[in-house]
Amino acid sequence: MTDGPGSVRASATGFAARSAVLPVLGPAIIWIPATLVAAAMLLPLAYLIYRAAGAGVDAWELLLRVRSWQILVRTLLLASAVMIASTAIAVPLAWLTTRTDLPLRRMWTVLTALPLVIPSYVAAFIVVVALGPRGMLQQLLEAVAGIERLPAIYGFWGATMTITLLSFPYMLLPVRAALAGMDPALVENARSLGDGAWTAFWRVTFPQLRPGIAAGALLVTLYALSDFGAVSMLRYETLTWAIFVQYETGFDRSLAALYSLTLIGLAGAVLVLEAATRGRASYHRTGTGATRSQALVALGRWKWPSLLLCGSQTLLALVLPFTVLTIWLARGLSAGASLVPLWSSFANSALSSGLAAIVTTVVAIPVAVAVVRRRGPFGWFLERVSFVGFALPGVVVALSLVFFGANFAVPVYQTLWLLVFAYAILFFPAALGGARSALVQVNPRLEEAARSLGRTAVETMATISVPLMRNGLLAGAALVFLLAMKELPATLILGPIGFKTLATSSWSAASEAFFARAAAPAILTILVSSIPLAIMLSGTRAAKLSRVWRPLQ
Amino acid sequence: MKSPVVECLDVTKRFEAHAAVDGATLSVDSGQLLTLLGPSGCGKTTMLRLIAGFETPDAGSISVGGVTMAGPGVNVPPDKRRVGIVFQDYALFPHLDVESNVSYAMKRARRRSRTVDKLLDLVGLGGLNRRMPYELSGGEQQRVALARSLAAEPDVVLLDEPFSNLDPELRALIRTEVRQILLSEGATAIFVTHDLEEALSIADKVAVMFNGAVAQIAEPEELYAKPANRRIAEWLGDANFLPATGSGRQVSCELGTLEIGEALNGPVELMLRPEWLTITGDPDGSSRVVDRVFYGHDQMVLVRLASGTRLRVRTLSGERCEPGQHVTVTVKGRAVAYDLDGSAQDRNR
Repeated sequence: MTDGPGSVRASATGFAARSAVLPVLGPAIIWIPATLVAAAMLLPLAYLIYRAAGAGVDAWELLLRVRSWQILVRTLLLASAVMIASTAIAVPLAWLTTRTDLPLRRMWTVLTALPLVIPSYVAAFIVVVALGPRGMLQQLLEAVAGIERLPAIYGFWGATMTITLLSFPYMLLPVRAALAGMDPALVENARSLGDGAWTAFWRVTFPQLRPGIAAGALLVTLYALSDFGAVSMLRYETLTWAIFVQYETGFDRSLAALYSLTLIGLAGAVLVLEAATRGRASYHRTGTGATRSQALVALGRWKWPSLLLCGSQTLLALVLPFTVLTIWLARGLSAGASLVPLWSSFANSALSSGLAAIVTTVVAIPVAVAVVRRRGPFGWFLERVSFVGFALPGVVVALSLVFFGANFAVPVYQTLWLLVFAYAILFFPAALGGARSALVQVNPRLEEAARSLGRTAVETMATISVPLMRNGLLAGAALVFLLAMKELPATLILGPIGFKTLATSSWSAASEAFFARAAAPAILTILVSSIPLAIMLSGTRAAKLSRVWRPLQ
Repeated sequence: MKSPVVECLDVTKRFEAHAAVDGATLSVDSGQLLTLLGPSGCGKTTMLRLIAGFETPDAGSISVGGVTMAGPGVNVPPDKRRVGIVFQDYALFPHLDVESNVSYAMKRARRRSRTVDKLLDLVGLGGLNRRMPYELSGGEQQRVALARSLAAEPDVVLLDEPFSNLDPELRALIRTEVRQILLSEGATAIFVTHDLEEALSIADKVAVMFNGAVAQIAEPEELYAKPANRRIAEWLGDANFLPATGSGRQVSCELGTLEIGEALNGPVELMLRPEWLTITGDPDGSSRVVDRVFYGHDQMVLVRLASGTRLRVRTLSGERCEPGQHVTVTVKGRAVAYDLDGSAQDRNR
């Protein structure tokens, strides 16, 4: 949605141009799956509206009471605080890791993006265990200085800190891509026109970063709005938690539907706001000369403070979690806990995430063709609709599918397939991003050549387009796998009875304060979801990665 | 008896309001090489894409091999048309080696007797079967693309600006090679180009396109010597224009009385190619040399007539002339005359 750096790159080198192969090929093989995808994406929303329309007066009265307003205000506060804090961390880190002579720059580039693999419920329970009122830090301080109580980590500050540390890479990646793709001549021009370094940053660099920051702010805000794991663990009652509690305990689930629609409304407002701030400025290079690679800024005496910033971020977001998890894993093992139950959770996680990755990627191919090769109103609509998944919080999709499955789709209700369907809705934008950015790189002339050599549209897709899209499809599938591994609320709500994944077993152990039992699945989740991230990062620059993220923007 | 392999009748294709092809009509006979020549944006590439089936005409009809491919209620998909295409950027499948590229179409070939090897030998690339496209030079890629399109045994091969991505030194050489390959295969082909020299040197026939329509279709020599109107004359090389008065098959102008091909009466405009004129030094001549541009083999002399009209004269470089020199201009051969509205030369035919 944002004309972020990714799209600038794509339009400069890519082949978004309409290939005329499609109008000729009898578009059924594209339109039928594409339309089904659009319908699937809209299903949760449509069903919630249907449910809300049937809500009794009681539910509406409940929605309008003071408590609901408090929940709404808390949700908004959390989202804004996370957004501001993420910007404050991500922009300097992005600049330091792309444009300066920061020592070990490449290492920091990878390390700063890694918190992506830590699920929020894991981070939250680590925060509780480490920094809670009677946590590890307090015990340490008690031994050293006799401090018996620390300020409560629960609530707003704990949730803000936790979610910020996890979600700021969503801002870091687009901003980094924008910085990497920027023409250094612009800043040099500003400097030669009499601007100082600082003025040049504000007048030239910052406006260029605006689309990247806006895209990142959108992602981070949506993350904060839809987060369930951290707020549930840190007892900060936002809409997602309220929805889950209503679902678990409420007799009339209409209130849960109304809360869900409120949350969707917030997400929609964020999307609109981002589109409005983006403005009409275009950030393409206008000249024809080649973009030079950029000279790095010498940090000089700022080197140490910069290293301190990178180091403390890594300490808080990576070292602390791993240390705490390892300590608790060791405690659990020494207390005689068995790792055997872990195996079935792992198998379930891998199965559901793997199925989700395959299904979502396969379905993304015809949609990518429709969006890239045949623009026009339907392609535009399809592209917009496929973003829905990213704006829909997992808890909302799950709730809607529970209603829907119990009433209209009993055969799949309480089966793995409904869960995979929920993953597919939630993470479809990631798969589409991979497919889309890959297809844009495929010259439509190749498809036309294949057609003129006597191959049908389907044969052409199978022998030319899909093989050439392989890397993008793999990156998309890897991302879907990672996101599904980490997903909690939909897995909790939609998992078949007795179906424990790494995420659910870690969360339920932690929420009952069995931290030792929670540590092993948490570590395994992080390790397994690091593999696809490593695949995506290996041999790709941040800018390439941002192409995969583009549809999320 | 030659029959048209490709026939386009009044073909129109609009992109939103703009008509890229606007009532174009042309036909190509079997075994003929036709070039579509025109300035960029004249619709020649769209024409090619219409014939290949990548675009659907809004009006008119297209037939290939005697079968209607596009027209009212008919639209045959590209894979059923037997029309081969060689793109400007060759569009070799980057994930397949040379052999797999060439054999990609073999599945559908009517006769399977010809192997990839024979095709590669034909284009002079024998033995390169296992090379990947990125390991080939531009000229080699070009010939693989040609072999690939021939492998499908198409009724006609379309080539879209096929030489524009090649080095200028290579261009003339490869042009001749491609022509030889197509001739030896007895293939029918349509080239698209905006390069005049290329169009005239490779083709049996040239179709000039302006503004989406075919303005003239003729053999290269005829096209150069008798362009149908002033615009084509200007586009196909240097041309001088001179007012004249016609009476029958003769016209009188400042250079005297000249023969023209067709009978024409009243005020007309004469078109004279610079090499159709000669100058001779003449102290009493009413014309004067204004300037001279020396090219080596020949030279272009700019002459001002008594009336002030300036003419460009191409002469061999041995003939000395200096600016200011008095000369007489004479016409070799036959002039071409146009009506004053610039349209037809054969009003009274």
